[in-house]
Amino acid sequence: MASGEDRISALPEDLLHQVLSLLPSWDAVQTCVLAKRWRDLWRSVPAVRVVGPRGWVTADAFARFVDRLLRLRRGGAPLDTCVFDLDFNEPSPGEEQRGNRWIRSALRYHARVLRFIVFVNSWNSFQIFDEHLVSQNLTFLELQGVRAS
Amino acid sequence: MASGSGAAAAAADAEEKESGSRMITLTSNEGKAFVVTEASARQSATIRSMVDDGGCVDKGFPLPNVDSKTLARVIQYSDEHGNKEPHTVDERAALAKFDRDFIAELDADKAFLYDVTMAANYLHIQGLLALTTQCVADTIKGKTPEEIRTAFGIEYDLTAQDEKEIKEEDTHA
Repeated sequence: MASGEDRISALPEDLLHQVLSLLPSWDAVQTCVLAKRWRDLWRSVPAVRVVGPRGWVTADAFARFVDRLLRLRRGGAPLDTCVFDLDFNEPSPGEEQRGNRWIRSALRYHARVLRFIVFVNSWNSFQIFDEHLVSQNLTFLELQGVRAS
Repeated sequence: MASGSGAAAAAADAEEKESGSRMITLTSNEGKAFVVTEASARQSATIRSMVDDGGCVDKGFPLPNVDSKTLARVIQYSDEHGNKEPHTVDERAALAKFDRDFIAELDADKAFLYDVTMAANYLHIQGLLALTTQCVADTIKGKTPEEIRTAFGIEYDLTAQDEKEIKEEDTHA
C-alpha cells in the first residue's frame, strides 16, 4: 500500500493544515508523533472539532484533552471553525464552567464559526453565560441544548 | 453596414464568451498543449481571473508548475465538472460516482495524489482540492501512527528529546 517515497509530508504547511482541519481534533493531534514534519502542525490547524465525553474512557480524560488542545494551540494561528459536540447525563456545575471556558477560549482565538451542541440526557440543560458570547470575528453561531443566563 | 456587422460580430463574440464555448490552450511544463473548453478551464479560479481580466486567451496559458501527466488528470476532472451541469438526480449521482472513482485511483498512488493536490492548489480548483485533501484526511482518520506512516511512506525521525516533550505535554494537563 505504501508508495515508497513520502510525498504527502512535502505538501506545503497550509495544505496540511487544511487536511488536518477536516479531522476530529483527536486525530489531528495524534499526527504529532508521526515525524518531525508533523510534530507541531496540529497547533495551528484552523479548526477545533471535539466530540465527547461519549466514546472516551472517562469524562475527565475528555475534558483534559480539550483543555490541553486549546491551551497548547499556537497563539497567533487563525482559527476558523470550532465545533463542540458534547453529551452529558446531567452536567455538573464544574462541567458547565469548563464548557464556558472553552467557549471563551474559542472566541479569544477569534473563531469565525462556533457550534456548541450539547445533548443532555435529562430535563436539565447546559447553562452558558452569555456575556462570554462577545466577538467581533464570529460570523456563525449555533447553540443547542443550552440555556443562557 | 460595416458597423452593423461589427456589432453583430461583437454580439456573437459576447455570446460565445457567455456560453463558454471558446477553446483555451493550456501548456504543461513539458511544452505539451492541451486544448480545453473555456467552461472546463473556468473550473480553475486562476485561469478564470486571467480570462476575465481580458487575458491572452488566443495565446493560451503556460503552466510552468504542472507536468503533462498531472495536467491531463486535472483536465479530466475539469471537463467532467465544467462541461456539463448536472440537473437531474441521475446526473448528480453520475458526477458523484465520477468523483469517487477519480479519487480512488489517486488514493492508490500517493505520489500522484500529491502532484494533483499541488496542481489543484496552484490552479485554485476548489472542488478538486477539496476532494484530494479529504482523501489525505481519510487516510489519517482512525488509524494508528504506524498505519499512517506505512500508508504515506513517512520515515520516523523524532529524537528521544521530541518523544520526551510529547509525553510531557500529554501528562501535564
